[in-house]
Amino acid sequence: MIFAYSRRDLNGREWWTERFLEILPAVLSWGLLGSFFLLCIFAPVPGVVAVILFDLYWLFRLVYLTLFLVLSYVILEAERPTQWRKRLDDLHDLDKALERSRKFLSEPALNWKTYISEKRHLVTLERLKQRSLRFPSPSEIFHLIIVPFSTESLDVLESTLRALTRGNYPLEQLVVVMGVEERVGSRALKNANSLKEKYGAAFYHFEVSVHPDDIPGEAAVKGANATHAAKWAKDFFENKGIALSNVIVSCFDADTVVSPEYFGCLTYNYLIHPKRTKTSFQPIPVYHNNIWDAPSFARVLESGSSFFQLIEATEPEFLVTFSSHSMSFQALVEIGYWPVDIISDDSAIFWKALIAFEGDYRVEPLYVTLSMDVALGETFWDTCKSIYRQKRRWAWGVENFPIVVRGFLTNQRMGLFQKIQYAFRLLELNISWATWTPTVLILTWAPLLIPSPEFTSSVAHFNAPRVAGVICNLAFTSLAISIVLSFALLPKSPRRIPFFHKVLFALQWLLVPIFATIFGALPALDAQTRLALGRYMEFYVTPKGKPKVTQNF
Amino acid sequence: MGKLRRVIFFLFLAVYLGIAPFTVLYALGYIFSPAQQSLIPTGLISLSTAPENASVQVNGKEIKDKTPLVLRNLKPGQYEISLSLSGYHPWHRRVQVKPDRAFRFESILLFPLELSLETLTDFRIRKIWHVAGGRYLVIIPADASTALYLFDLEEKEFRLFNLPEGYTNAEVTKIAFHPDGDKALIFLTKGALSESFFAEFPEPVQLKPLDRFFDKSGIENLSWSKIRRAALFHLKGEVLQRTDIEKDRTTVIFNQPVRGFSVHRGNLYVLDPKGRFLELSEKGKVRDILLDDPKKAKLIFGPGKIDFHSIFFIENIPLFFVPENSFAFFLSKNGKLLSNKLPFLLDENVEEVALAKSHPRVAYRKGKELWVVDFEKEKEKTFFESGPTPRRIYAGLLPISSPIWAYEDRYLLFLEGNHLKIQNFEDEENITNLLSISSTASQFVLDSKRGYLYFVDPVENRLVSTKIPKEGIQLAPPILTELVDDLVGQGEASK
Repeated sequence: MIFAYSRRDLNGREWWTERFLEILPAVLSWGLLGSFFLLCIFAPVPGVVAVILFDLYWLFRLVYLTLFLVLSYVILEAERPTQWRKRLDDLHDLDKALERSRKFLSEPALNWKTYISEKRHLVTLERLKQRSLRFPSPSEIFHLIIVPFSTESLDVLESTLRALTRGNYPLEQLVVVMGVEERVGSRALKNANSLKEKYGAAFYHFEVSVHPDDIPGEAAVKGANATHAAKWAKDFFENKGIALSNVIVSCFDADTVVSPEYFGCLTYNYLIHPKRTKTSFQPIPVYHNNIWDAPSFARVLESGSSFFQLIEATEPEFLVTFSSHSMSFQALVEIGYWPVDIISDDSAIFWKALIAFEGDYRVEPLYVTLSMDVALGETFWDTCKSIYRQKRRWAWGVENFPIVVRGFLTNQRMGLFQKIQYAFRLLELNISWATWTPTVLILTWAPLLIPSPEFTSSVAHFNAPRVAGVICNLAFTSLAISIVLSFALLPKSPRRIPFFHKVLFALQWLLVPIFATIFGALPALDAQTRLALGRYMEFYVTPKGKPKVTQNF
Repeated sequence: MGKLRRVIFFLFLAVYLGIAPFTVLYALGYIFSPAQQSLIPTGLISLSTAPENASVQVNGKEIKDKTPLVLRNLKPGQYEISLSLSGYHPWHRRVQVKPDRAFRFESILLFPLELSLETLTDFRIRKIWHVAGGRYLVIIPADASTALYLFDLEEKEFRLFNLPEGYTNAEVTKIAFHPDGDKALIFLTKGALSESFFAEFPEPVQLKPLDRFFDKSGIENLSWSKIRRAALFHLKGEVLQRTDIEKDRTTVIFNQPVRGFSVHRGNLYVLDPKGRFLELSEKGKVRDILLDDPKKAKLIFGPGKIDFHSIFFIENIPLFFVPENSFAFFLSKNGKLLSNKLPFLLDENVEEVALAKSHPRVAYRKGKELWVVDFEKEKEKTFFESGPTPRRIYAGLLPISSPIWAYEDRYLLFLEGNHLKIQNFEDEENITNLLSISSTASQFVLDSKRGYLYFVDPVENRLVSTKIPKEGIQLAPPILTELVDDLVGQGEASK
């Protein structure tokens, strides 16, 4: 289905629909917060009831999410030592691989990680055998890696390429395209060329693509740069006689440091997927490149971002692409590449594909990590500002909501229930993002702070804080699990971290509701309000620190 | 994983839907009664004391926990609450617990049974003067003296200042302290001699005579300027003047007769015989006309000349969404206490008024009775309901005098005869008899900021101090008067 995934050039009715849907998230978020607040002032008892129900809902949601966070983490941990190229070898002869795997699993001395990993592999092999799925040989698969960038430093870019060369995957199956923005000046091109000189020979092909500044209909967004590079790649593969269905494209942020097993894992998951050309592949993003140079509150926040993806990975039916990820190049070409005027290209590409393939598109989680930079500034406050802007950019993903809903409205072949589910989840995610921490953190206690004589003499005035306190304490047990997992997920520090600092880091998790309000809810409200007011955001390049650690898993 | 997630989602949803109603009902005070086999609404009582750790008895049964505590899940009915703490006056209260109602007793001051006294002077005292919140206390010795004493409450030391020539053993008829407490007008009388002087503390080396400025009849009402350092407003005849002591100059401020005036927040307020109530700048320029209706003014204030010698103001506590609201009180010479709020006439035969510092409430005495009007409660009333209702909080056997508000304006200290008493203005069951003071110099000074009470002892007539709880020990919001009404019965509280 052809749908222009853009908010530009809309006619009267489409424009009004778009504007209505742009305003809706902000109205709902502010309306929810405002109605809670007004209820607490003018009808404190119903206000307390509403807040308790909301708090309780969030407690259940938190416990529910923590449960899946643990499950997802267990799988990630189990797959950490997996050598995916060996798994790819198993795909050549399924019968032999099944026999080997069953025998291996019957060994008594297996540790739990190996057992879970191998069991997952065995289930896959059995499924492949049962369904007689046809797939190309791993050696026929090519990886197109597009790294669009603008002002990122040579250090940051080099760490990305260095990680590619250190991967446990044949480099002759990798095509790297550095997407240079013409508008940022010659320095970016110089950097790209110097990297080509240093690393170009290592790959099947290394291309420097210069994205012109004057292409009509484009905005200054990363998607436009990536699209320009992808169009070059289409011609390249076609000229080489390589089927586009055998090409997997990975669009990486400039600071993406891949795990050595990333391409092995990606290839494996691509090949075993029955609808591989209608699927995106989402690794777990971690922010470890400069994690030990970041203030500890930033570590807490970024761990939270990784946790979110870990949790989302447990529900592939509704998984949406985020940040650096991979997909079938054939699918990308079929849907007309990335949107060229949308900032949140990472999630927009999924929605665009979902609409284009009339609901027959999904995201498959990869239990392998990609590491990126924590947004850092020169000073502590600069870092705060950078993180705030970065989160606001993430929250700007709300711009997809009106476009997606318009796409659903025009799409007749996609199931109504599926449309409602996706639209509701997209809206609910953004509303929750903007409202849950202010509600839990501030509005829970609002009825107590407002001296309504009627309320201060009610039983609810005394019992509500007690109930809220119990809910908060229970919520903190979920947080305790997060603390443990955050330590487990962290890479080894290049220098010795004193025990006291570790304790401080752990304790900072207790401030998560405050951090999540300042660097979660506020940027989300900011982004939604901007969208509602029609003050569309321009692309902001997050300042990234010089990577210090490239260790990954 | 997706299937597992859905199963767990619906499981969680079911548990949520099961737990949420009970959680809400508990928060609203409902408990399950096995006897009635149903959910019943409950009430609660919140108790906190200063000092803490008082034992609590409910219907004669000792509770394990000490104060502060909240007695929850109380079925509706009558409860006898007793608080006891070794060495302190006990506290008792009968409470009618109602469903969904919380009774807050969060400002219970427990006073020691025995106050330890410290005698501060070795000479007998005739009278002490003090301005609330001020640093200095003026002491007039009982015996023939050529000097007065100044007692520094901060440093706890005495200073002497000499009386002017010719005024040895003079009678101090009035001391009009500046609100800052560091300046005062002192009115001395000796035989036929009568004169006013200006003094600055703590070094009143010289008393500056001011008599030429003042009309003897006008000294009842003096108001210090809030803007000028040593200037005060007073009446000369019916004319409002400002005397600038440092400049040695008197200026007519309002060139028309006035019935009364007051200074508040740098503004002058005057009530004139034509029934106008005006807000003026300190220079006398009209800033606002608060009332310009002779008929209404006659209805409220009645006919008269210079009769409202006291006009008081208190501010409502400003909330961010409620506009500031001022309360004005007018006390006439013949004891009429009026307010700018309906029903205007609060009471008659009022002898003395005490204004709360930070709450819109006022206490006044009438002979042997102490009354309170609390405007805070009135905020809840609808527009056409009757206005503030004075409530008698104490009726003594002896005449009552010198009421003052203390402890976040929740307690009233007053003298009944020569007995100094303290009472929570919303608690008529518990009145604490603190001590007895000299009947001749029936004065006491409360330095609640530092936690001291000063008075003249009844036996030796010397200045004595005793430690009492400091101001600021209670931070809880005030008890609702609605609750007190519930306790004492609506009818009893009304006039």
